[in-house]
Amino acid sequence: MIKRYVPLWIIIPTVLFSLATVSLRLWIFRTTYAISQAERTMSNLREEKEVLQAQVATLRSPSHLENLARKKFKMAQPKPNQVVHLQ
Amino acid sequence: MRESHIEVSYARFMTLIVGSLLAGALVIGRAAQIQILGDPRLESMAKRQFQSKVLVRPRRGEILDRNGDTLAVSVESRSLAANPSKIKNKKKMAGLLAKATLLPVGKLQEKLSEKREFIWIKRHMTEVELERFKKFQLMDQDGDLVAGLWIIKESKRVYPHGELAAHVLGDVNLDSEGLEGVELWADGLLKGKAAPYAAVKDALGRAALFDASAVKDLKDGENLSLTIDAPLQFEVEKELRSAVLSANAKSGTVIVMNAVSGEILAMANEPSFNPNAREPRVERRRNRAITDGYEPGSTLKPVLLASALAHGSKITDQVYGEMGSFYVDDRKISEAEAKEKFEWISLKKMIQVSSNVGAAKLALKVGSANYYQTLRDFGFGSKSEIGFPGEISGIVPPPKNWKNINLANIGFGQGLLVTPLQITRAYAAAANGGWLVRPVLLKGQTSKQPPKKVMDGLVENGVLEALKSVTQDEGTGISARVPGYKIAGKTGTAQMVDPRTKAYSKDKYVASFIGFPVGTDQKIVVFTSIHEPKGAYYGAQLAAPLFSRIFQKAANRLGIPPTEPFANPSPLLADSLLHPGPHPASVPTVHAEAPPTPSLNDKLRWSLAKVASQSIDAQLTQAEADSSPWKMPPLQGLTVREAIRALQGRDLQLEVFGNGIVRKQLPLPGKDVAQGSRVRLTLAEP
Repeated sequence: MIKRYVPLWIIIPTVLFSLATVSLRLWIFRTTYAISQAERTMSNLREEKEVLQAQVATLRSPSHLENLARKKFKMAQPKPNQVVHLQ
Repeated sequence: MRESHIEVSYARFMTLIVGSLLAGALVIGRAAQIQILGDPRLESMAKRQFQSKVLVRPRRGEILDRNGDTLAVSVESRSLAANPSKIKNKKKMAGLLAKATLLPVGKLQEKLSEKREFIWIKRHMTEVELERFKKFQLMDQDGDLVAGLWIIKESKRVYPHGELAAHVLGDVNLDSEGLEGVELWADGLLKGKAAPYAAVKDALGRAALFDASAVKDLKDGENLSLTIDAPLQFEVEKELRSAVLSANAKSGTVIVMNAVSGEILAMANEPSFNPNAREPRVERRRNRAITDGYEPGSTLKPVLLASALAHGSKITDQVYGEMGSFYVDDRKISEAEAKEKFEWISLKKMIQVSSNVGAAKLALKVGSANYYQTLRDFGFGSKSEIGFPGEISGIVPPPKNWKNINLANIGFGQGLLVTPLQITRAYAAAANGGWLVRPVLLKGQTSKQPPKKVMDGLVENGVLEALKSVTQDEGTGISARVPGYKIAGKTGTAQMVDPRTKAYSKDKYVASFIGFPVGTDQKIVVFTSIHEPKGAYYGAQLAAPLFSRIFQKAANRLGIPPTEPFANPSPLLADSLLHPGPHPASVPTVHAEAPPTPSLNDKLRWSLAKVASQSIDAQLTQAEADSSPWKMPPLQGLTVREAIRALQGRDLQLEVFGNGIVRKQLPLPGKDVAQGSRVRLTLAEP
């Protein structure tokens, strides 16, 4: 009688172990995928940041600012004796 | 018979069974060996199938100016690559690619016919080009390219300011490796450390899953801060470009250096180049301030004077001017202008009027050994240790080869080769009390050796006195004067050797001026030179006015206050804006404030104006509207700047006494103040 049910005792843990292994593998795969996606997002954001940084640098360039000051705000360079240096 | 036949069949059957079992056992055994014990060869084969090694390039470091503004930055770009073996109709593909990339069809056909598995089609493509790939159906809406083509992400170097400081920054190649300038010099620091790591490939062979833990080996490049001040560099380049154009000259160079720390604040050459555009002409890319030598001409005379003073001469000693010319070793030495006929002149006067005859005679008196040693002490004939790639040491011929004519020539700056940086450094010694400093371009760059004292107090005073006289009446450098400042400096007009005739040319000159302000807290030296101008060629005509304009800009930018009263004070901009009168108003880019009145000495008088963030019309309208009295705010405890900010927008005459924070104020807080009233602030140290 015991011998008759032995295969069943073996089958159940085997099936459970297999399911656990597969689900663990899946979980690892999903996590790795998520990490990979996060890496990709980070890379894209960094790429975007670099482009914006370059744009900011261009907008802050002295030639751009002078151009704006002269054309948009109608400014001109002060004469030497119109400048007072704060100490 | 029948029984024996059955026995044979049974034996065969059993043999077959046993054989099959043995074969099965072998297969199972081998499988177990592979699966459990493992086989490195098969393991690597399997890995090759679903894994790839990815070399991740680190982010190249930024190059910043002294204020932290970005001068060079790397951004991601996309490049197109192809595998010709996977492209079936190469002719059709070349035609489509030519339309999308605007490359010649022939060149593309040639590339696609190569027997290689990887070729670059175009590096660093623009977004417009990528859009054209969709238009010509080389790319679908998901961004996937047709078979045999693929996009690779790469890093591209961008110089947001274009030509600004191009010669200092240098540039990089398509693989972001430094080619010139700081990009080459500091390539090791900027490029960082690449890291290879494994990635799982997807069905199309693209890297999909990365081994994130391996990223820790990746090291991004370091950011570098230069000593260059971008706004000053911009002004310097603008002035230099204008001077070279108006003189119809071949080239020009300007250096602005802190005479105490050796920091290079601006370094410009013209013609310049845009590092974003990959300039192929070497002559445009060279940083002439460091890599080119020239015969300095009269700008070397102060070094001769320093040598003479160090060897017993006095500034009041006299040399005979020979009425304009004399002979040394049967060679005639004469003044630059035939009308210059000097008799006895002092050493100071020799510098002031830039007498060649006087310098030649003084050099003969000092002697070759002494003069050579002084030249070497001032750093001529050796590199300045700035560390910039391509720096030359210049040429100072050894004194054993000097005849009298050589000594006389070198006395007034001909017959030796110096770099603009070397001579700027030598003048810095006259500006900083006699110390030869090491020029630096990187912030925090330190010298292995401390600065060397090359002039003692008496020598330095003598040289300074002579240099000051150059911009005074009768001096050659009057056009280098700057209103509000006392300038010391020296003009130079050097003949150039014609490479064809190997003799001094009669129409090729280098006009130069090197100078610095006297009596200011901040010590800066400005070098200006114009090479091969057409028409006027004297240093006094070309380089000295350029110095004046550049020093004015530097003084404004660096906040170097004037030390002399202005000869003709013009009305304040603020006054002219708020009280329009006969004086034409020009608009400042900064606060418009009155200059210090000489009679007040330690007190400053200010006239407040609206901040120039509005247009002139808007300011005038607001000034008229604000004519009603208002309450005086409490200003005690504020700094001058804070107090000015609190009073901003009111037409007031402000007088400030002392230093520190506001201790007393008149009118008192809460009192009514009418437009145009006088406000007096007394400051004291907190």
